[in-house]
Amino acid sequence: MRIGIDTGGTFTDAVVIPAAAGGLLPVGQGKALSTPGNLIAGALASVEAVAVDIGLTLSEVLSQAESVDYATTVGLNALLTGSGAPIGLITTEGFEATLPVARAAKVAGLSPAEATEAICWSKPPMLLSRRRIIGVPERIDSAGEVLRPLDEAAVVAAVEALRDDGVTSYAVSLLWSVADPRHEHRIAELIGRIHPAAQVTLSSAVPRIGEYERTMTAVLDAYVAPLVADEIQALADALAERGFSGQLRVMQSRGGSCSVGDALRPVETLQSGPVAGLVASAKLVKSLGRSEAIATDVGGTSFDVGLITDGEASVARRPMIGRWALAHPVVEVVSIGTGGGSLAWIDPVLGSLRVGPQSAGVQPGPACYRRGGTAPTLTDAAVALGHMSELGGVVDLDREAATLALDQEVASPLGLSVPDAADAVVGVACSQMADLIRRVTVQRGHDPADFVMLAYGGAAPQYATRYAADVGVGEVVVPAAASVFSALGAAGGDIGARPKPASTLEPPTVERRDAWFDRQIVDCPVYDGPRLAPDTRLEGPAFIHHPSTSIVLRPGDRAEITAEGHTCLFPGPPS
Amino acid sequence: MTDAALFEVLRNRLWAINDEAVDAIVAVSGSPIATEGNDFNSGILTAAGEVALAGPYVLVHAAALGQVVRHVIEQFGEEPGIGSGDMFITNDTYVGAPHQPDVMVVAPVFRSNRLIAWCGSCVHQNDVGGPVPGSITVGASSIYEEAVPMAPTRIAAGGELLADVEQEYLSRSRTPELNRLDLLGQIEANRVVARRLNGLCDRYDTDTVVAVLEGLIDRTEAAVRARLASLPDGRWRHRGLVEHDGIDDRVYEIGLTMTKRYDSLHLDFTDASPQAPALINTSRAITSSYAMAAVMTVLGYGLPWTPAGFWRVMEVDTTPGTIVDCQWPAGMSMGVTAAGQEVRTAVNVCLSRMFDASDDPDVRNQILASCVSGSFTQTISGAFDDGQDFSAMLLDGLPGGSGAWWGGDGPDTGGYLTSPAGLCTNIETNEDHYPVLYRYRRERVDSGGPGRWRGGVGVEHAYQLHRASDPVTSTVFAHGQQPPTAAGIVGGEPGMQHTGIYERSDGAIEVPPPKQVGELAAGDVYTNLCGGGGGVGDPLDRDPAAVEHDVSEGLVTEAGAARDYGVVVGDEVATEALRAQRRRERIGRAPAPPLEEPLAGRRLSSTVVQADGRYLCRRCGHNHGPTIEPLVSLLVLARSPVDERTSWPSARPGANRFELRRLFCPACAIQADVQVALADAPLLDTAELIDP
Repeated sequence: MRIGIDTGGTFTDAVVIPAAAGGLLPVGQGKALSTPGNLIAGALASVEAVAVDIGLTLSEVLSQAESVDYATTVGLNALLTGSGAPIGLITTEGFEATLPVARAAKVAGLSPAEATEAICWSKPPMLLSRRRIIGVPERIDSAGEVLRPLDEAAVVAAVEALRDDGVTSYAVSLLWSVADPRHEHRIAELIGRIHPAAQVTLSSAVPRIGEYERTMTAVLDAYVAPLVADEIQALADALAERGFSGQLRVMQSRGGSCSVGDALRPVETLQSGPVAGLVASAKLVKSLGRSEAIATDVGGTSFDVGLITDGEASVARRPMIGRWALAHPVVEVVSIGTGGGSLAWIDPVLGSLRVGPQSAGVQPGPACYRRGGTAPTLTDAAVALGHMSELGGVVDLDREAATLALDQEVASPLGLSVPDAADAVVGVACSQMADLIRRVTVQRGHDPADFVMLAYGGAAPQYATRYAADVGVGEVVVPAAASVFSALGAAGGDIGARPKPASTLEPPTVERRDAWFDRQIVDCPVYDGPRLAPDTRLEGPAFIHHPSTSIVLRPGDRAEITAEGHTCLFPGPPS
Repeated sequence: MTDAALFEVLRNRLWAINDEAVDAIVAVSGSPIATEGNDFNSGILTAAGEVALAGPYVLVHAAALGQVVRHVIEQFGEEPGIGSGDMFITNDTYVGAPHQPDVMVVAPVFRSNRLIAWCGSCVHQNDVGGPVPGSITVGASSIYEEAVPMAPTRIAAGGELLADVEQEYLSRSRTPELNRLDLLGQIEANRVVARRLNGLCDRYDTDTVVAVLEGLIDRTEAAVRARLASLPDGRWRHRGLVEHDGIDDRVYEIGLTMTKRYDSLHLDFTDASPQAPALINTSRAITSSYAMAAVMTVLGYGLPWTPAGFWRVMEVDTTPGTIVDCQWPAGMSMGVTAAGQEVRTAVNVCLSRMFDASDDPDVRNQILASCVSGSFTQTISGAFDDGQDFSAMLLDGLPGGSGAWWGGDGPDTGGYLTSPAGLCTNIETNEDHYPVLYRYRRERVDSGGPGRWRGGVGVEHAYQLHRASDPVTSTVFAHGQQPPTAAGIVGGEPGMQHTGIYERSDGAIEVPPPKQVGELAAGDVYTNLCGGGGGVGDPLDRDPAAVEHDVSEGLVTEAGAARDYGVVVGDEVATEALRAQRRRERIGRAPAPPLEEPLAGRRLSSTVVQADGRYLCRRCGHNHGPTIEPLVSLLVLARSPVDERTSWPSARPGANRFELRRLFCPACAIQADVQVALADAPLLDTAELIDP
């Protein structure tokens, strides 16, 4: 069997898929809370949860597994918290300022609010002091001709100085190393001789003209490499201790996994979670006999969109991570700060109702979590409308708290009823999501009507028919394993699930619930998702409840369960 | 959907539509200046030609769109009339194009027979004709010797591109095929906006869409007026300087008196030098656009950047026949980086002085010194060694220093205030496209304007020809080589001047005048030293640890630390002694100690309050004298040459016409103001409150 693990901000997900002979459908899935500071513990706990799911022990699962595929956030965390390695940069003499000049980019990657406030403008953080950028005499021109040979004595002096200053990881980025990397290679040899324990990243690993983006990428790689390597090693050790003897692979941001020890580039693990989701999407789309899809994921703080065209996840034109420009190909995931935790507020200038980009986060979280949050969020609006009542099977949501928060901050100031205010919050959020979808489709010459949409992650199935209807998508697929989709993508599994339940005449429900749609309260069935038989056809208003996700069917929306256990949604008219 | 939600949904949709228009332009653009440097913009306007939204690229372009559309409405509206599918092209600087290379294409948006909006874009072209490649003519004696602009002309009618007009436009250019790509991109962008706005009307009804466009402006205007009303009333002044007009090394002055009363802003530029023959002027339209861009970026913090919402609160006065309101046939092929940048700096500085009079610390946080102004632009043209022609405008002058603010240093090599998303090119890109080889790209040490918060340092480059057929024509263009133009504020000092330097293959050093058509031969090295941003606050108040950090990062030399900040690196005691000595030297006696708490009273600035008809030092309580006197006459004045901080490789003729004027409190010696002026010009009374 094969194991896939995806470490996310809140949850770590794991899946087990059988070895090739039995197909690639997941036979088990598990979730555990992520454990910041010691991500390995969360990863192991998630695998243990899978083991429980399929009736084995952790060591039984691990000793039977031939591979573990891992989507990690350790590099990204290091970047966001500034806790990467002490790094040094060796570059062509005279061009030490490539990084600080950063092509004069002072607003790249800033939020819209920061971008319109001049005192917030700044260069992307450099990740190292200028004192640790050392130029060495050498020069190659655009034709690859060596105009000035590498001054090896200067390299030796630079490495010794950086080593003595505490550097443990080196980036080497020379002008025109894309035309001829020989000087970079020689510098790597010299570092290996003088400072054998150090990590070295060469910019020529990414053959792209443009020294700023190439240097920045090398520096990011050097910055996260030791931590990523340590974590992978720690995971390898922890797995081995528990009986694992298979292959450990890591998900990369260009799509596809890379075996540890091979040519793993740590900088390419930075977006591995979202990319794993898109890899899974590409497989699912293929299994549906389609080749064009819009993949959507609503998380706690963001809405992510990726595109599958010609059966492949599309690659970003100008890849960035945070405020940093990248030189290597990255499967494109575009995001906006609209997620379940996004705050709803009245713009004091425009008088308009806004949602995000500020977020209540996990702590204190939405008001309905009852963890001390009092500001209304998108999740509070959904709860107040009766569209959801619990989260991931672990958190019960308080409709009264949600209602109170919305009343105070949105409904009363605008002179609206709470359901109307809540519907407006959901409407604004969904229209922002639809705008982002248009940005990656319509704006690039694609007609969304030609695409199937995928909705995965915990919350996307709640809003999907609304934003799909807005952009004119005719069919939305909620994968059977929607809530562990990225882990499945990492494992390279096919997308489908569970033994077929026996067909019943009446679709099984768990309860009925009063919920608001189109400013009316409606008595809606809540269907029991895992027990729905293939070919079941459902109509909104209704909910389909799964242990870790909930699908909302608006009035006019239709749903159909496929043989593989996916839920196909056919959106009604726009709300 | 509720009104508040619908407004938000449509506002976001309008932004997405404008982004789509930008994508349409970038996708086909033939202009590397536009795509590599983000030298373009796109906007959506109301039916009356007010700019409701525009991208974050060149903000001057955004304001210019409004002027061009209103001109088109006036000229064509009645006769022959404006119809669906019409588009208009222009690069007429008298109408609003920032300079001739900026080509604008605007279009009405109709909903069946109803005009509901306008849209348009402005893209910097490689060449629009005229005597020299690149269309920026140093040495022109009138606009007839520059690229003669094309007045707004209908280039599409009823949705069809008019081939004869297209031909007339493209035939002027040395790069017609590239210009054609941009033209098609701009036309497609307008079609996209028209289609999408109609789609919105289908779904939400026309009146609603129109109401959101108008509402964005109305609501922004109300917020700008409310902000102005909360700020002190007064008059603030600045005097910008542009040396050299391309023919003569004359000095042109641009005086601004900004008057703020209640919720309106009056920008009086009537005190400006007579117009130059060509090159460096701005028309009244461009002056107004630049002023708006500066008002929006400085006064508009935290507000929606709805250009027309700012435009409505400003009144701009100019005198026809001056450098900021030039009259036909004055040329202005580079006025956008000459007079235009001085207009921006003047508005930036006056608004910041107004903020300095505010009692609200959040407002004072927004005090912003000037960014680099007028740094060297260079066009080179010639041939590769295989005979293939090339012509390039290098963007190496873009990463000058940004201005400091009250609370932080200016971004180093951060570039211009009014082009937030402007970028310089990678060196590898330049070497890939042109026969050049760079020696270095460095941060220019000591170039940031000293202050309690330091201005950003500028950049410096040096390159030589590589695989070129020499010689190559090299045209340089700048101002602020002689006087520093990136003004400091609240006692902060200006950023260092810029300059270009030719080091000939025989070792001779030539410093070109700020405008020159010259030559670059094999073995010559051209160096571009770019100016820094202005500082904020008295440099002797800068945290010595911050100065030492700058020294260790290579942004300030040890000598600069001592000279500009009174800091002896690594020696706290010596630093304290040096700073005390500096303060003594400023006023010729031991300085009075600061008060425990700054003096209360009606605030004029960080250093001065008014009480009982007197100016008092906020820091030490000293009575400067009666408010009927100009404040500047009551402070201690120290004059020094403008080159005192620079270490030029050779003299720059003309620099000795200017002086740096520092003004100190006669008692505590705090540096209250720093001015740059012609040596024979009177002192400028920079701040004065008006009784409400």
